[in-house]
Amino acid sequence: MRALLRRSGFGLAMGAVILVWVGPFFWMVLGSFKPHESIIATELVLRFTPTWENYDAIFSRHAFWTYTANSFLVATATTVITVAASILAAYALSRYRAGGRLFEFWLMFTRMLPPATLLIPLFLIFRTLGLINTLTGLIIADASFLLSFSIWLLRGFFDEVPVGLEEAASCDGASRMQSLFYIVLPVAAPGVTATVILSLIFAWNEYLFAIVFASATASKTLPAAANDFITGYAINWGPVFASGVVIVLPVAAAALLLQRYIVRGLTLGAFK
Amino acid sequence: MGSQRPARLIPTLCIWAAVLAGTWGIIWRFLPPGPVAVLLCGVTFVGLYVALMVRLGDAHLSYTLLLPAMVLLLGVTVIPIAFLAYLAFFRVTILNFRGHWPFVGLENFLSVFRDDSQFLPTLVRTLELLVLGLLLQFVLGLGMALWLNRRVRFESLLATLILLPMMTNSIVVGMLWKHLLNFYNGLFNLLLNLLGLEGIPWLTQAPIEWVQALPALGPWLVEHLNANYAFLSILITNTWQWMPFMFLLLRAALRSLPVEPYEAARIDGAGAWQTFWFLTLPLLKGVVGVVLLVRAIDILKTFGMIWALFGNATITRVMPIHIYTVGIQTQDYSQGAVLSLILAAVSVLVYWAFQQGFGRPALARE
Repeated sequence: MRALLRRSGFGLAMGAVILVWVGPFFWMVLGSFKPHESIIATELVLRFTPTWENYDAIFSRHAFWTYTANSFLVATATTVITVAASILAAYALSRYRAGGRLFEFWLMFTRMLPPATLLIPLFLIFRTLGLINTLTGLIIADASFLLSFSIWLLRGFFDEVPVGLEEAASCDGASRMQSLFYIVLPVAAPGVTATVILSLIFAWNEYLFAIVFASATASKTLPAAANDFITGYAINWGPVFASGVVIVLPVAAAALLLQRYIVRGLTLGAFK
Repeated sequence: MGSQRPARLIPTLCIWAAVLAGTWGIIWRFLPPGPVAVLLCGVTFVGLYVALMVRLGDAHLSYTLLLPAMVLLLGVTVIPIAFLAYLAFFRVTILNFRGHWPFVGLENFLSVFRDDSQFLPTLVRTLELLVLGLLLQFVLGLGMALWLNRRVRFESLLATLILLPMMTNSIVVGMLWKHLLNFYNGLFNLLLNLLGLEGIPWLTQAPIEWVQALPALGPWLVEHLNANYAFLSILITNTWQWMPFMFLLLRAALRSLPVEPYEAARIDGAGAWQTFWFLTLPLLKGVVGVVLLVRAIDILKTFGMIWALFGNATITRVMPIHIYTVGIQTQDYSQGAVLSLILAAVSVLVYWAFQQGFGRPALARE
C-alpha cells in the first residue's frame, strides 16, 4: 500500500515537472492556431476555432520562405566549415599536441568570450569588406565562434580512440590521413554526429550576430524575423507563435530522434 | 608512428604561404584582380591543400591540420580583439569613422565610469543575474537530480522533454514567456485569476512587495539590486530554460558515482543528510565546478532572451545588451569597445575565480 502510494506520488510529481517544461510549448503551439481575439482575450480561452491564418500571415505576407531558407543555409554552411576545420584541428591536437600552450589558451579564451564583445570590431571590419547584410559574413562569424566548442568536443572523442588501432593501420601501410578518415572518424562517429547536431542547432539558433551582420530582408534569418513582430507599439502574437513553432520544430524533431547524441555531446562537452 | 618528430610551426606556415603566393601569382598573370580571381585562387588553394595534405609527413602535417582553424581564429577573434583594444584608446564614432581618429589615452575608460549612467547598474545587474541564476539553477537542478537518481520509466522520453527548453532559441523562449507573463492575457495571471487571486505585475518595474517590506534593507534592495518583477521574470525564464541542463549533467554525474562509499556510509550508520553533505557533495565537487562554470559563462553571454522580453529597456539591461545599444545602435564605437573589454575581463575573472575555488577545471585540458 505504502509502495503504491509512493509510486503514484512519484508519477504525479513527474507529471507536474513535465507540465512545467512542456506546458509552455503546448501553449505556444495552441496559440499559433488561435485567432487573434482568442490570444488577447483576458480570460482563459480553451475553445476556439483553429485557424491557419497565423501561418498564412508569416509565409505569404512576410518573406518567411526566404528567412527559412537563409536559416537553413547559415546552419548548414556554418556546420560544414566548423566541423571540417575542427576535425583536422582536433586530430592535430589529439595526436600531435600541436599548437602548444598559446593555442590551447586561445581556444579556451574564445570559448569563454561573450560574442557581444566582438560585435563592434567585427561589424566595422565586415562593413569595410562589404560583408554586412550578406550570409557570408554571418557564416564566417558563426563558424569561428563555434570552432572552439567543436574542436574541444571532437578532441575529447578522438582521445577516446585507442592509438593502438592507428599503429596497427600504420604497420599495414596506411598514411596519417588514411588512418584519420578510415579509422579514427568511423570509430568516433557517434561523437562526430553529436558535434554536427549541436553545431547545427547552435547555428540555427544564433541571434546576436544575425541581427547585426545580416538584418536586410534578403539575408535575414528566422529568429531575427520572428522578433520583428514585437515592436514597442504592438505585439502581433499570432505570427509570433507561428514563427516560434517554425523555429522550434526542427530542433524538437532533433531532440526526439537524436536525443542520445545530444546528451552525449552536452555531457562530454562539459566533463572532458 | 610511435616516434614523433617535433612539429614545426614556422616552416609549415612558410610552405603554405609560398603555395598561396604562387597560386595568386599564376592566376594574377591571366586574370585581372577582382572577385573572380580571388575566388579562383581560393578554390585552387583549397584543392592544393587537400591534395598535399595526404602526402605530407608527420613533421609538417600537424600544423597543416591546424591551419584552417588557425586562420579562422586569427581572422575572427585575434584581429578583432586587437582592433577592439585599439578602438578603446582612440575616439571613434560614426561621425569620424572615415576621418581622423584622435588618440585619447584612458579618456574612454574614464568616460564610461563618469558619463555613462547606465554602466554601473548594468554591470551590477549582470553580476546579480550571474550569482542568483547560478544559485537557483544549481539548487533546483541538484535537488531534482537527487530525486530522480535512479532508473525511471520513460527515461528517454524524459530526456527529450528536458532537452527541449535548452535547445530552443532563446529569442523564442523570451517571446513565449513575454506572453505567458503578460499582465492582462498571460497564462500565469489568467490561472491566478481563475483561482480568485490578483494578477501579478510581471515584466514591470514594480518592486516585489515582500522584499520592499523588509525592514531597513528592503528599499535599498529595490533601489540598487533590482528587487523588481522585471528582474524576477528574467530569473524565472532563465531558470526555466537552463535548470534542465544542470539537472541532466548532475544526474549523469550522480549515476556514475561509485557504490562502495555509500555502502560503507550506510554500515557506519550515516543519515541521509550526512551522506549527502560529507559524501555526495565532495565526490561531485569537480563536476559541480565545471557545470557551474559552463553556466556562468553562458549567463554572461545572455542576450536574446532578455532582448525578446524587454528590448533594450534600461531597467533590465545586461552588459551584452548595453554593448549592442552603445556600440551598434548609437554607433559610439570607442565607448562600446571599452564596455566590451570590461565584459571580456569579467569573463576571465569568473573563470579565474572558478579555478581558484574548484581547482583547475576539467574544461582546461592537460
